[in-house]
Amino acid sequence: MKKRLLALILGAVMTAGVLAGCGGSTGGSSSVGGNAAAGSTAAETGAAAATGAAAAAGEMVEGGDFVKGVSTEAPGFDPFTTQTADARSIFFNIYEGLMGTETDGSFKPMLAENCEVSDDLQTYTFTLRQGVKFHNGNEMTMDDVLYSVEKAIASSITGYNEIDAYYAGGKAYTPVYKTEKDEEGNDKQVFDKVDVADSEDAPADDVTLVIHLNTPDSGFPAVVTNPIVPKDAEDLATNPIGTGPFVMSEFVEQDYTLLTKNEDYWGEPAHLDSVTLKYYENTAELATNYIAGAIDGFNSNSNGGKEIEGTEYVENTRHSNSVQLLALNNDFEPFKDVRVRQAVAYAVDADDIIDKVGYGHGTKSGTPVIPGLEKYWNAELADAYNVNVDKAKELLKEAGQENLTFTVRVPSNYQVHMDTAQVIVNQLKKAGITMEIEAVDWNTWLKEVYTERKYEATIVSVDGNTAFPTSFLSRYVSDAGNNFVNFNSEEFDKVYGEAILCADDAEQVQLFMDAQKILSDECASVFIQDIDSIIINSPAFGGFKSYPLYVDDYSALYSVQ
Amino acid sequence: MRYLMKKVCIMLATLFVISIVTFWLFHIVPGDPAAMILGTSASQEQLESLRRELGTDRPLTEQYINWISGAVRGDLGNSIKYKKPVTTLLKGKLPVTLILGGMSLALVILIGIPLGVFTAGRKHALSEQILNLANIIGISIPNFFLSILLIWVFGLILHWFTPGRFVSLSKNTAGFFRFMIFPAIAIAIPQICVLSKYIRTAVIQEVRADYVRTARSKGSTKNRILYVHVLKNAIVSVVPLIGMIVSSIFSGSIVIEQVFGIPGIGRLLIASVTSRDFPMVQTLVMYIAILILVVNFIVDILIQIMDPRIRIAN
Amino acid sequence: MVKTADANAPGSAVPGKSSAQKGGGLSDAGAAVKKQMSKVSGGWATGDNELRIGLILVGIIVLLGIISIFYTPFDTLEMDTAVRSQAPSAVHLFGTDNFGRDIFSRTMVGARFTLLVSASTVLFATAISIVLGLVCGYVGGIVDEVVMRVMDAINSFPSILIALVMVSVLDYGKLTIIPALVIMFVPSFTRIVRTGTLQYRHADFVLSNKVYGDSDLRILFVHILPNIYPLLLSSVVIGLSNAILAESSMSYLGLGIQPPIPSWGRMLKEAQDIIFSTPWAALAPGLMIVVTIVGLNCIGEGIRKKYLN
Repeated sequence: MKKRLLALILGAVMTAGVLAGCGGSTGGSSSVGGNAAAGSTAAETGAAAATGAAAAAGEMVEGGDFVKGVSTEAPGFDPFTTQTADARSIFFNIYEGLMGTETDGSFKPMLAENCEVSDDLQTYTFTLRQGVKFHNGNEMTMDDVLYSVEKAIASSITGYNEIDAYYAGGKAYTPVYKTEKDEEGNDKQVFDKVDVADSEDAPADDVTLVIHLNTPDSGFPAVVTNPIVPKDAEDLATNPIGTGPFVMSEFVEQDYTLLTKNEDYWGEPAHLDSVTLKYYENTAELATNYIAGAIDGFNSNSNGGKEIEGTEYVENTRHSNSVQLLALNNDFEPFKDVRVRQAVAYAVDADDIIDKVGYGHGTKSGTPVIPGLEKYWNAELADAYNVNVDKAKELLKEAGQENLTFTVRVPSNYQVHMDTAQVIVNQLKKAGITMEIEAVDWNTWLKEVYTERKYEATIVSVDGNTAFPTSFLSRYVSDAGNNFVNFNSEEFDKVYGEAILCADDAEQVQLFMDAQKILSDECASVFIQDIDSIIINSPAFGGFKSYPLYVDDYSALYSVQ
Repeated sequence: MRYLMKKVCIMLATLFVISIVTFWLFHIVPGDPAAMILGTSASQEQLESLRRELGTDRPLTEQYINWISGAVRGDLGNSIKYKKPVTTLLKGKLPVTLILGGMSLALVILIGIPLGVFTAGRKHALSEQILNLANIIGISIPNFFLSILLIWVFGLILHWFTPGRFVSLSKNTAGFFRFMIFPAIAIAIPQICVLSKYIRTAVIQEVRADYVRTARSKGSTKNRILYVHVLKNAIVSVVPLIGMIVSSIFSGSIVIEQVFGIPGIGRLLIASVTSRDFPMVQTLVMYIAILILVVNFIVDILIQIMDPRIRIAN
Repeated sequence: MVKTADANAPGSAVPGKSSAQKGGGLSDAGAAVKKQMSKVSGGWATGDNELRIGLILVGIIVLLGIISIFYTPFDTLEMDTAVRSQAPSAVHLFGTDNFGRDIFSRTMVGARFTLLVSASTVLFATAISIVLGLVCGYVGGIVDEVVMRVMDAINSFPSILIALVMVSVLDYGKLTIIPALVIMFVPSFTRIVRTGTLQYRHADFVLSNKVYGDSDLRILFVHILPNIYPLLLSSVVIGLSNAILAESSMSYLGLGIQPPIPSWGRMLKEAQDIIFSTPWAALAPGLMIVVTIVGLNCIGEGIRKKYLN
């Protein structure tokens, strides 16, 4: 088996077709899922624009406490159940996986010292790093890694279902699935247990882990960024134990989370002594609290620093790595006609939305794939439905829907979507379409709109749970469980099916492009934009690092004097 | 004594009914705590296994029976969102809200009553007109508008406190009270206006009563009449108002806790409802119900004792 | 309610009137006193001034709302980023919001719905509360106990829960907000009426009227209710302001009027996010709410002084 150093592949991440993306919500984008990293270039996302009165320009000093104002608290700290974007942002500082994400979206060995991959992209070999200590003082061993892998399989973490078998310490471990009936009586595979057997193929030492996949996957390194936890960890939800540069030392509900520096960190330790995440139910107060000096940084709405004019701050902008869409329920009678959907798309002006809602902070997408995933994003589609009111009217006339009226159910906790809805109402009016807004609370939205699909249209940001295009496109397969727009196209199913099985890289890229073209031609929904996140920090702190992920890396932050 | 026993029994029955209604209301409201934790990339399998883990896949009736049978034994169950015993969470948040409420109530009574008497004593004077106007504005001004104003003036301009930097009582007692006085004022102002207005009306009405005329003809001084005889009777007639003021203070504190960033019961309640945290909501509703029932119960008893007009009835 | 006032007015034909004052002495100042007072401070004592100010203030607001049906200085929905977040000027009286919409025009249109919702909420809630409160206070016993405990129960439920329930029972819609708010308002109003009724049901003037053969209904509405009026009035006025604000917190749950059509409460709430860059966006609706409530308060005071004393 000829092997290559994975790090090399990862260096060329974009070409290797890995990746990861996923984004999250800030200020207003409502993406809440995803667990891997992403693919936009550093040039695009990493740019830190210094505005306000000052950029960090002093001497770096060790120590200090950074207080960040946030608007949502993590629903628990168990990385195997909690998947919200805000939680993952905290986990990034507490937990680490075998692999880690770099600021440019590539992957670097973390708890694995190195990683090698076979030519057929089906076998990965990891060598564990030695001398890594968990926050509870115990040294990380192969047992902990095996436990974490099994836990990830059992928790249905995306990507782990590809694992055929894994080998370590002279033993072979095989996940066993059993067949169960779901609610509709269809068979489905449910993880049952892991079979353990002696194996000659398995490495004899206790630092080498071999993972074999049932399908070639160049994106697997993104999967193993999932945390490694100690095997005897109890109740991670309230007492998280990882290996990261920060220890979660205190959590007071509705008040704050205190992260303190991990003094025994295996790598380069954090500069700050501690980071406090202070929760405010009322986001409108973030600006006030920043001006008052109660917090050192916060994620702003698109308005950016305008609210805190007169104080000193540093503004950083990055992609949110999710696509905001006007989702049209393809089962809603008028939207069953592709011409009606197209008419809506022609009437919606994405540039206008970015200008009015985002003050210019956003990137037109045109497809469900984030523009940051440059290799796979079909850029031509961004302009496929450039605003054309006459065309919209014409299409409506053809379809006999000149007086189209529908209701858009918008999750009201995301002001950015509420604002977008108001802008779209005006745009559609020009084409004679009446759209009525109906605000719903987030939990109702998840239940009625997302799960039960009881809606005509909605506005939301959708991210992928890995940065491979499959995670953005799979939900449009006709019978996908999360196909909440009820898109139904045999052609798409066929092209997409070919794409995921394709072994040739260039061919695969082309197939993913074609699949996006079908979504665009058939107008599955109106794909608007990838909204920018704007992060405000005090100039008393430096070292802000931007990742193509929805995370805050506090280990890089330092005080300035 | 029998009257008391009867009242207590009725209170317990009411609490039981409230707990059933809460459970039933929860059944109506759409939502799923598991979806809240997993978000929009959740697969059906993840949702199902999390629901199993949280126990939210079981019939609501079973969940209710579990809760009530535990509650009777003093075990209120675990919060779904925080995965901690509800009792632990309550212990942390209750003192903050109770102190905030207590401070507000103290302000209302200590300022509201003298203010009402003062304005009544100076009927039609200019000072009374000014106070009256301030009163009307105080009642009219939206609660959170007032909070923002206080934060702006005392926090950002005068720097008497740092907005958004709540410190817990155990860590910094002086800092805690210095911070809490401002939200307490924000809650108290509208209630002070209401109370002083009622007191004023009541005092004026009492002044016209016969016994005052008698006292005056006997030669008592004006102030003595006002503060001793009249006030006693006037206070009696505003006792029922205290019950309402207490519940207004509580509902006001829900808004104020959010604006000032105070981690109390109010914020916990909102967070629990939005995340459909059944055991938490159930417990908090019971807590509010007990508060309201007990306050109204005390008020009823006080009225019985203090007001002969009502006592005759029983 | 104004109509019931004549029962206590000077010269009322009800026998035993004079004993009313002995009985605990509320209301009925008597014509002589009134005259004397008006000498002291002009219109303030008679309530004329209050009434005048109140009617003018509320009149202006109502007029703005009516005019907005036919005319607004600017389109209330059209957005223009060229004029976003502009301070008040001769062109834009109250400035523009973050979408460049004219705030004055939006407060005009907002008046319509805001007044409709708050007025009908308070009207319905008051009507229901008067009936419930009078019956509870007068009849007492088991009826009183049951109704009051139900009121306590409603008070215990957080309003957000009640709103979510209303949404799922009555479905989303502009007017669903009204029953939801009425449910939240009835308990406190009822308690006021009930307590008042308790205080007066054994008052001398009530007893004497009973002796003269007045029906229970007449006693409740003609003799007792007017005495409770001053107490109820303040609560009603506070209720109006609460209703205006509650509407904004409910609209987030799909109750009440939905954006982009403006209501004061929501304008105020949305302005919180831009309070430093565009403070006038919060000031305008806030001012309108305060003016309306002050106006209503004055009217209430005026009516009380003029007709009930």
